[in-house]
Amino acid sequence: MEITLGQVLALLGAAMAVFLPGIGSAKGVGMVGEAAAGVVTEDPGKFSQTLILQALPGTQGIYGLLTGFVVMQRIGLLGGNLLPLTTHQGLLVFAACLPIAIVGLLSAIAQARAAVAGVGIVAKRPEELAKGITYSAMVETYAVLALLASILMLFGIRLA
Amino acid sequence: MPRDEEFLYASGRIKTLENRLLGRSVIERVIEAENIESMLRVLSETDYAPEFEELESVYDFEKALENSMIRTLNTVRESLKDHRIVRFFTLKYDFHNLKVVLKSRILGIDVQENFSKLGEVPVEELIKLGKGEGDAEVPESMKTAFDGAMRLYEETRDPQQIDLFLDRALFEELIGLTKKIGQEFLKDYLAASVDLINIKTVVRLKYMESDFRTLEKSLLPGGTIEPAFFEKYFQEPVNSLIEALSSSRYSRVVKEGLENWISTGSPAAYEKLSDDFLLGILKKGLYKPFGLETVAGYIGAKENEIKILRVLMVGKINGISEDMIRERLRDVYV
Repeated sequence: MEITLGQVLALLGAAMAVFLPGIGSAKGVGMVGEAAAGVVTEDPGKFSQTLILQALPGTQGIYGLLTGFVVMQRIGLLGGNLLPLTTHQGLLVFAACLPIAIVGLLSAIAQARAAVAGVGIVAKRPEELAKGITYSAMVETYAVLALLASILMLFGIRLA
Repeated sequence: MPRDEEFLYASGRIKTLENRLLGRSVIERVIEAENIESMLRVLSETDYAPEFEELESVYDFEKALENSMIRTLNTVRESLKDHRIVRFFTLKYDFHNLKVVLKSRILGIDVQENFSKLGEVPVEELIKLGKGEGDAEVPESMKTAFDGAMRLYEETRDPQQIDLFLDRALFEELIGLTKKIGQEFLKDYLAASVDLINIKTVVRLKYMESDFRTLEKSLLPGGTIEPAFFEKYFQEPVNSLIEALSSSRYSRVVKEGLENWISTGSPAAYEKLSDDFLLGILKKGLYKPFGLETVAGYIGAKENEIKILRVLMVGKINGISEDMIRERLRDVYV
């Protein structure tokens, strides 16, 4: 079977949808983890509260992986039966991956900053943890919207 | 310039430690304490408990305060890879020690007890330097400052010149350090401290009826207000200096502080207001989730707290009235 440029572009899109939000989440979870470790050094009792905040910027990586899976499933890579995509079809898939790839990367870091501020809330007023989580979770909205856009586009493209 | 991300761990730690800084209510309880025992009882419930427990006599309280500061600095140091921000605060203690070494050399006496333990250059090495041993492990800049001060003393035979020379050397090094760190926040803090010190110097020298040359030598470098400004107002009454600075950001400090100085003849109110002003700059660290500001703010807050405790301890031990102590108390960070 001959490999087409369209297939390469589609796979490139899937790869980007996975690795960019992945980088963002890794950086974000790392940032919150560092700040949380600082709090726990002085007050070990705050482990579980800070752990919740640390997990928040991790979702973008999952959304990226999900998008990557959808692409792989749509182009037949998972079944071992790769569709012979045209260049235009490949570009369409690539374009569909961009929202979650870019928004995932940036929103994970923005969310991490809000979560670090939330760690500060936990350090001072542990009873207000929920507010810290809410502030940080607001950023999630935009990652979810980007995921939604990417998925809708991917299901809308006619490939067969 | 260090990125904010480099301060994540330290900031998280500091956010917890900020809870242990003394608030207004604890300070009020210390002021209202009936005697030294009840004051110590209040302090034993605070972060100062371990240091005060070790004390044999309350008159050694300086030692406890110093040890508490050492503990704070060590905590910050172990939380950071880049220690330059700590150095910004500890450099003055090293220069203090350098002054002690120089003066003991000139007077030919041993004044070990005057050394500060907060400096980073080992005191033994400074003593070596004082004895003129060439292999003393002291930073080059401090060696140069030492030689310069020594030369100046030999020319003038005036110990006050040493203080002026070393103060200038300290601030020159601080300016260099803030340039290297490259954070506007720190530069701004340093410039404000220099300005406030320079304003105080001008007024002090005016009251002492000093000459122009002394003023030139006493003004510190690195402020936002030019020396020419001070030289101009040196010849005019203090009120016109207050007027001239009324549109600057120091207007409140200058107006209230200097007016009080004119009427009472004491700079205490001005000093308190300038400390409060500088603490106000540092408070940015309290509201920033992470970054150099948080670290600098905490170290500055701790220094401020120790100043407050010193006023409280001296006041209480000497039986000074609550109102008089309250007048001299600085603002708190938290």
